[in-house]
Amino acid sequence: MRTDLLAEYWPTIWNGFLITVLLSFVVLAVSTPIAFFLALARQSQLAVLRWPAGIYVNVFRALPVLIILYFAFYALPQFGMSLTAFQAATAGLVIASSAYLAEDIRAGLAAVDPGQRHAATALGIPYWRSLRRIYLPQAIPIALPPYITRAIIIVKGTALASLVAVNDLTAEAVRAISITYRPYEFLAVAAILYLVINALLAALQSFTERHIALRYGRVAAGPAAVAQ
Amino acid sequence: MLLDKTIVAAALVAALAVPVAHAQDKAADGLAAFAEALGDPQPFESYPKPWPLNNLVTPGKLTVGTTGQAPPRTFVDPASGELTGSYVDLFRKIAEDLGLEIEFVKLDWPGILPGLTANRFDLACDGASWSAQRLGSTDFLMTSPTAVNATVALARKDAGVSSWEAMSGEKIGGVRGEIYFETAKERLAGIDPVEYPGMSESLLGLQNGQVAAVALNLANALDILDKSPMADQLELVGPPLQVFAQGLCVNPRQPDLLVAVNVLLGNYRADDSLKALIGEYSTSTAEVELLNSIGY
Repeated sequence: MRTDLLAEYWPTIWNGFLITVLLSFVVLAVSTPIAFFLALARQSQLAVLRWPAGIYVNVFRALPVLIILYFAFYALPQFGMSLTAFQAATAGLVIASSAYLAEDIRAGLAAVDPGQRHAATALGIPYWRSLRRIYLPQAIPIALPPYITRAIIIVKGTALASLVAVNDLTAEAVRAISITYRPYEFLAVAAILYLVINALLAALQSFTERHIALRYGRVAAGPAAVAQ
Repeated sequence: MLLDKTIVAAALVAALAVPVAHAQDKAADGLAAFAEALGDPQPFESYPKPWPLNNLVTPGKLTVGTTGQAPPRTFVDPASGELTGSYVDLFRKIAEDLGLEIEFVKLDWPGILPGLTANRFDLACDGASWSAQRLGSTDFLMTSPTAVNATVALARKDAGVSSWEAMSGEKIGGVRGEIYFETAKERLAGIDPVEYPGMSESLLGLQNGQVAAVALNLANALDILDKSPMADQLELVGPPLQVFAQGLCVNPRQPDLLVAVNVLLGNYRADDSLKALIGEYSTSTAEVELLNSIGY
């Protein structure tokens, strides 16, 4: 273990780590609301909403993320749209991630008994209110574990941004390896830093599940408990 | 009095000059006689055939790591899909002369030198530039030079960066971790570096206007100016920031292979076969012919 090399390259590795954290945060913050509305659109009675959302989700789930990233960074300039490396990586990862997250959220929504929606409609409760007060308190605890799992996959997927000139954690580790020829040290450090981010996400999942269980109690136990 | 001193000084100079001139004449005569006795440059043939190489990754086979991404030295022929290039042919010739089969392992540059260290292949590098760190490394061994190269840049003509000084404040691209780009980042104050994963991506960035110029080596730059469809939009920026000797890299467990390759490279220089291999894929063989400018 060459600790002197680690010390020499630590500032650039740390900078790459911060870029990875920022990229992950931005991608999740932008993807989540898009995915939420895509999930609602997928469940809509209106074909004009359901069909485009279905096509979006199925197309971008089927495409390799790297192809989307390459298109965003290297091909868009041919159409007069030149994004910076960070913008292109964010756009590409948001497009792909929102498609996956939409399905995770839709699964949570679909687990709620549809009879409750019909009952809410029959009682004259507006759609957005029934969504906020009836659906989401039941759907969120169900969707949370797959959502966090997906978020961890997305954080790991930000490593692809290094291939479109973003100097993220993976890129800085690769650069240090190219100069020093010491893969072991820098790959180990990069792996540990990715573990730190994803361990925090896993801890967030546990905390949020406990919080929801305490706050909503019976509801968080699932639709079956509500029905009793 | 002054005249006397002048005469004495002149005599002294003449007395010293005669033996020096005489010695120079003798040295020139000696060189000419030696050269005449040796005749034309010729390869050194008295080496073991087959060369006993006991530490190859796979016995009887020369395993070579190459990127396949640095034309004209190593690239994938778009027509056949086969790995080709001047250094691919050089590796084939070395294997043939050592009586070995050859197997190429294609991987990105960041994996090449760590791959040698990890005993994945015997020989690698499509002309890796010498540096103090590389020459002193115990993780791999470097052969004698196969080429002389230099750090230059290719700039878009419309970007207005036809000199190094004009690059201050501009986005300059290059291959992440490559010695040419690292040299440019170190020596050019005020540039905004954009690090691409490979040369083809760097050139895409240049074509798209995402960077004003790309720092790279002279051989690559000349090849791009010779063959690229966008060559008429590009200009070469110099003078070189740094001049490098380039060589092949050998598995650190195989000093016997290093000796064998060095002997063969000397032979290829003597019989001009190295020059011929380079000339088959490039219009210029200057990188070999000018090796004597750095003492080889």
